[in-house]
Amino acid sequence: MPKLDRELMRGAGPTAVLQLLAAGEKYGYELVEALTRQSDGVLAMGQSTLYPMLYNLEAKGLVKSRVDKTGARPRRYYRLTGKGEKKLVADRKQWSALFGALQSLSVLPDAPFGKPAGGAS
Amino acid sequence: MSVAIDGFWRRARHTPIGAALRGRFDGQLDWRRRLAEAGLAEEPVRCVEQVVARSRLWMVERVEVAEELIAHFQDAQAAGVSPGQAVADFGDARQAARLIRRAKRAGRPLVWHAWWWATRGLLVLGVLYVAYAMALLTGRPIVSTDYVAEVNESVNRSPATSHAWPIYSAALQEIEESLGPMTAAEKLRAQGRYVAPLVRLWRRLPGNEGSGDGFDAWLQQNRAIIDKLHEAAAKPTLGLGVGPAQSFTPNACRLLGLGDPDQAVDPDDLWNGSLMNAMYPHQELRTIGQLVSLDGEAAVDERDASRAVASIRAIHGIADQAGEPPLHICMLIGSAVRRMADRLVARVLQEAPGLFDDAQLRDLAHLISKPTREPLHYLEGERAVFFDILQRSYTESGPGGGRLSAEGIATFGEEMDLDDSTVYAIRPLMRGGGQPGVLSSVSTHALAMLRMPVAAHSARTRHDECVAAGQRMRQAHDALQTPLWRHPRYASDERDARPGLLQMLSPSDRWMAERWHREEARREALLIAIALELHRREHDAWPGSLEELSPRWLPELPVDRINGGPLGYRVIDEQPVVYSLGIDGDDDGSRIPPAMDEEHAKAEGMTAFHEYRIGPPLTAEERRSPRKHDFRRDPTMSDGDWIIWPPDYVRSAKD
Repeated sequence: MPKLDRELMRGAGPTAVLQLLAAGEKYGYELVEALTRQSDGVLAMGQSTLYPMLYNLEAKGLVKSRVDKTGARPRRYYRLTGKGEKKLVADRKQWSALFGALQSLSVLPDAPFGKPAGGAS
Repeated sequence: MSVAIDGFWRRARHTPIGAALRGRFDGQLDWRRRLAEAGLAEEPVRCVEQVVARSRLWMVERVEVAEELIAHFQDAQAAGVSPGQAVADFGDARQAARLIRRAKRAGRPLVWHAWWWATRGLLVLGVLYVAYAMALLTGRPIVSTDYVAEVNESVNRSPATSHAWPIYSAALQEIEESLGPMTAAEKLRAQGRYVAPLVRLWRRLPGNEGSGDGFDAWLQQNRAIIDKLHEAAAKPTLGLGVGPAQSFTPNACRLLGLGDPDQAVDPDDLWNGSLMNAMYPHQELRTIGQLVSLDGEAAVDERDASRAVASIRAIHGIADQAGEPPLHICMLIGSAVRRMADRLVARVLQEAPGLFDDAQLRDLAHLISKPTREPLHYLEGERAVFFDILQRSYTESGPGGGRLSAEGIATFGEEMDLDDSTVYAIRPLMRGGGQPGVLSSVSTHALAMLRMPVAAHSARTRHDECVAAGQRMRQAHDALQTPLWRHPRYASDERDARPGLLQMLSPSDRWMAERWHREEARREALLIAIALELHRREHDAWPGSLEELSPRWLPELPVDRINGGPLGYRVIDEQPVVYSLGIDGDDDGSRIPPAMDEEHAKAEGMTAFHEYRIGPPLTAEERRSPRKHDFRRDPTMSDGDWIIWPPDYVRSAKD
């Protein structure tokens, strides 16, 4: 699969990370692996970008981190905050609308996104 | 031992303050140690080191980032990813450091953000301030108008044949030759310096520094010089401008004592080209006028009427020539010279009334009644002086704009109430001397220089000065044309909260106007006195009122310059007395205010003033509220009349 353009990745990356964290808290490397595996490599991002993204999401209050020192090595786990959950819901709607619109324009083939309400027939 | 010390100091350096205060030097913040102990291969270690070191974050933040990246690479290692591949997957360490730094800083507390923006803001302001200070310091005024040429314009336009200066110059040369070598006393006084011939002669004149001994003899022996001065005085123009172009010719310098005649005169050494600093050789005409006047006095003593009349005529010519340049100082010189002629006429009318025949008296009346230059002529010159100083003290930033330059601050800062330390710091830099020698002095100067923009801003701008000048000149123009009884509104009585150049440099219009009225009153008094004498000759008696003089001997009877009404007139001790009713408007029967009476002033323990303080009539408010030592509100100073004829007349309450 081709890798995403940087601008697209900049928009999709945070949503993808928030979505992964919606399933439960994860540490950095876990997120890297999940992104690569679950997106079939499309959303695999350089880790030099992932960690700054996580710090940014934390600075915005969308995720919260904690250090767990109980394991073999201390790890920083990230989890979604209430604000992050709301953001994720909003992002989902926006992405859904975007993909619906692209489908209506036949940019995308029919897929499980459906058509946007009030969209072209 | 050395390792132990290194270890301690290393831990101490990387211990949080709280732990250090508790005496626990655990080196918690030593991320490099943690990295070294993490068991990573060399490549990931280098990568983490590069990211964390380049992030330039707080130590606590570095530790957090280092721990996370260590865990990341340990996870990769545990997942069977080779160190090289893990580092390759991680990506560009430099970019990571930059992005991490940005993201971590975004997450810092609000107080830090406030501090960060405040310091950056202050830094920017500081840079702008320093740049502005530099611009002010390096900004130089642009001299675009030659005001000296404007002032000298009429001289430059006049034909050379009408110029008196070449004749005066020859006369001065002859004076120098007539004086011969310096006497021992003159040498001692000169202290090895050259003294101009006119100064040497002036010192010998009676009433000056010398006793006057030998002057009469000099006068007898040098009649040709006096005749030459009369010839020069008859010329319509002096033909000598202000400034170096004409005044600083070597011969003029030698004769007028400007500079050292033994050395070539470089005008630039003596003069910066400004009108205010220009040399006015016209001042020397006062001594020339004194010479001619003394000859006139001698002629009266000898009852030589035609020589006395010629002297009076010559003095009038000299006064006109001295007052040619439209500059206030020249007005004063012209007035001073003209007073010499007036004194001579007055002396003849009082001491030897029969000396001049009727034709000579009429001739003198015509001469005296000839209009002199009005103060407005000199106001124009003062406008030129002001704008010349303005263009030399202010920077020019477009149409009418500009700030007081460093040179302007150094020159006028004190008078303009600017910060003294700034003025003193800038002064040596502007004048090439007194450079700060020690470090403390340098820092003091640097601080003062930094305050320069504040000083420049607290001074009025060039535009402010121009607007104020235009307004003041119009006000002064109106005031000088308004009779005293209409209460002129003097611009110089209004004080601005921020003193500017104008307020500092322009002469007081009140002073100019009142001086002008005094001069005019003296001139009118002489005309009345001549008319009275002619009346006496025809009727063998003084007239019963001044109205009898007009129009037979006076085409128009002068009015009281203070009140606008008729002048007071009395015959006391068989001598006519003419007077203004004064600022109180009451006819006190030619009695002077008590404070002008020496005896009264002495008895009251006050200093007598000898000149009547003229001004507009007292207002109702001033009459209602007398005030001691206020020349208008103190009745001892205002309750009396202003005697205009005879001069030096004293009639106190006792008389």
